[in-house]
Amino acid sequence: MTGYIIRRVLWTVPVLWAIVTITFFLMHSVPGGPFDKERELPPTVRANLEAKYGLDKPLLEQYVVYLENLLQGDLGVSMESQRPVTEIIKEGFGVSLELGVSAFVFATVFGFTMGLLAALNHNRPGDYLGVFFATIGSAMPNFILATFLVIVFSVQLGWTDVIGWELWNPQKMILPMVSLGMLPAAYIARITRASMLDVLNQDYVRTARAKGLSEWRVIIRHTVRNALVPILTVLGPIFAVLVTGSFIIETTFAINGVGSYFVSSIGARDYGVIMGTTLFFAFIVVVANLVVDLLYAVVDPRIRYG
Amino acid sequence: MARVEAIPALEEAASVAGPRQRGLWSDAFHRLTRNKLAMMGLIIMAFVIVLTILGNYVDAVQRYDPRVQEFERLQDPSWDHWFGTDQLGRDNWSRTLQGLWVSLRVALGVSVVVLIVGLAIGGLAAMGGRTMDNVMMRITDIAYAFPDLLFIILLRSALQGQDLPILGDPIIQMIIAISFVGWVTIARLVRGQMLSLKNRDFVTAARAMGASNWRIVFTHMLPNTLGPVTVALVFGIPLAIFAEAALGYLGLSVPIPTASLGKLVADGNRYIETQYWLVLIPAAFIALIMLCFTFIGDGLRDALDPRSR
Repeated sequence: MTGYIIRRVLWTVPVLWAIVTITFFLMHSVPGGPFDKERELPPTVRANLEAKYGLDKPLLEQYVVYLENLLQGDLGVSMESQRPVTEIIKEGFGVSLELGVSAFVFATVFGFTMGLLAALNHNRPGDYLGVFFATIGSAMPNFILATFLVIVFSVQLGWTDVIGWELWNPQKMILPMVSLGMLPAAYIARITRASMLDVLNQDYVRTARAKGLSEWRVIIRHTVRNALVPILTVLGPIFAVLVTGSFIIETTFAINGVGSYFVSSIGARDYGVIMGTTLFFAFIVVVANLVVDLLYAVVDPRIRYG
Repeated sequence: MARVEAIPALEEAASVAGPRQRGLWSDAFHRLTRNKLAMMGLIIMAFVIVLTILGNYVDAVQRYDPRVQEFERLQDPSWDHWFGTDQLGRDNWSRTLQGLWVSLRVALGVSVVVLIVGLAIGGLAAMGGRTMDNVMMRITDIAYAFPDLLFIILLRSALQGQDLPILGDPIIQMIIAISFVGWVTIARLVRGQMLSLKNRDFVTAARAMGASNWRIVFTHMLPNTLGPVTVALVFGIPLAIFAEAALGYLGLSVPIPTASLGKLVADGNRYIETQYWLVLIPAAFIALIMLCFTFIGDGLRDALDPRSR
C-alpha cells in the first residue's frame, strides 16, 4: 500500500513537468510578443522591457530560469499589469472557488436527486423525466445554457441580474451556478440512475425485501449506500473540472475569477499570466486525480496490488 | 487451398424457408431506423446540412452577402431579413448559415483526423508490444491532466497567425487543435478492443490457418472494432461543435468578417436585453446540432450493441 502511494505521488512530478514544458514552448511560439501593441513602442523602450523580462535571452535559457523560479513557488510577473502572477491567482481564485464549489454542490444534489427519481420510477414518467433532463443537460454547452437562462429569467422575467457574482445573493448567484453545474448534474444523474438500477437487481436487495423490511429502509440502508461508490469516484474529476473550467462562464457573467484572467491574457499575449493560470489549473486537476486514485486504492484492494 | 463452393440447393432453401440473413451493419441499421429520437436527429441534421451547403453556395438561399454592412442596424426579424440584422447592419440569416458551415466543416475534419490517428495509434499500442503500449499510456496520462478546452485554446492561439503553408487556414488550425485532444479517446478504445480481440478464438483460428499479421489485423480485428469506434466518433461530434463554438465565443475561431456560431453568440450577448434573438438564434442552432448528434449516438450505440440497453 505504502509503495503504491509513493509511486503514485511521485508520478505526478513528471506529469506536471511535461505540462510546464509543453505550455512553455507552445506559449513562446504564439506569434507576436507581449509588447506588440497597436501603438509601436520606441525600439529602446522595447529592448529595455524585453531585457527586464528576459525575453531577449535564448528560449532554452528562459525555460531554465522559469523552472528555477517555479520550484521556489514564483510564477513570474504579469507583463500587462506588472503584478506577480501568484498575487493575481490568489485574488481571482477566491471567486472561482466560490463559483466552482456552489456549482459542485448544485450538480451533486440536483443530479443525485434526478438520478434517484429516475431509478425508483424505472420505466415510468419519473424515469422519462430524469432521462430527458440528463440528455438535454449533457448536450448543452454551459455558455449556451447561460444565454437561454439570461433571456428567460433576466430579460423576460426580470428576476435575476444579467451579469455579476455574489455568494448568497440569489439574483447574482443562481444563474452562473446553474449554468456551470448543469452538465455535471446531468452526468451525475446518468451514473446515479445506472448504479441504482444495478444495485436494485442484486440478490441482497431481494433478501432485504423478503425479510419484510420497509421499502424506505431497503432503499436507504441497502441500496443507496452501495450505489454511492461509482458516484463518489466521479466527484473528484467533476470538482476539478468545475473549479478550473469556469472561464467561459466567468467571461459570460463578467466575473473576475482566475478563468477570466486566463481568457484576457490570451488576447494580450501576457506569457506570465497564461503560464501561471494554466499550471495552476493543471495542478488542481493532477491533485484531484491523485486523491481519487488514492481513495480508489483504499476502497478497492485489487488496484494497489494490480 | 480450394474454396468450398456454395451449394445452390442449400442457398435456395435458406432464402425460401428462413428469414433473410443480415450482416451486423444492416441489422444495426434496421434497429436504428426504429429508434424515433435517432431518426429525428438524422432527419433534422440532414436538413441542416443541406440548408447550410445551399446557403453558402447558392445565392437564392443565402439571399445577402454575409460580409456587407449595407442595412439598417439591429433590425427585428422581418420578411426581408428572416433573422434580422446585426450591430453592423449585416444580414443575420446569411451570417448564421456561414457560421453553421464553419462548425460543420470543423466537426467533419475533426472526425476524420481523430479516426485515422486514433486507429493508427491505438492499433500500434495494442499490436506493437509492451514498450509502445507503455509510451502510449504515459501520453494519455499527461493528456488527462491537461484541461481539454484550455489546451485547445493554447494550441489554437499558438497556431494563429503563424506563417505556414496549408496550416495557415483557420479552419484547419481549429481541426488540428481539437483533434489533438480528441484522438486519445478513440486510441484508448481501439487499444482496449484490439487487446481483447487478440486472444479470441476466431483470431487464433485465422493464425493457425497461416494468415499474416496484416491480414489478421485488417480483415479480422479492424471490422470488429468499428462498431464502438463509430459510436465514439458520433459522440465526439457534439464535443467538436462545442469546442469550436467556445473558441468562437472567445474570439479564437475564424477571423472577422467571417461569422462563426460562437462569435455570433458572443456579439449578440451585448444586445441581449434589447435584441435577444441575435444571441438566441445561433445559441439554438449550437444546442440543436449537439442534441441531434447525441440522439444519433445514443441510437447507434443501442443499435450496434443491443445488450447495452
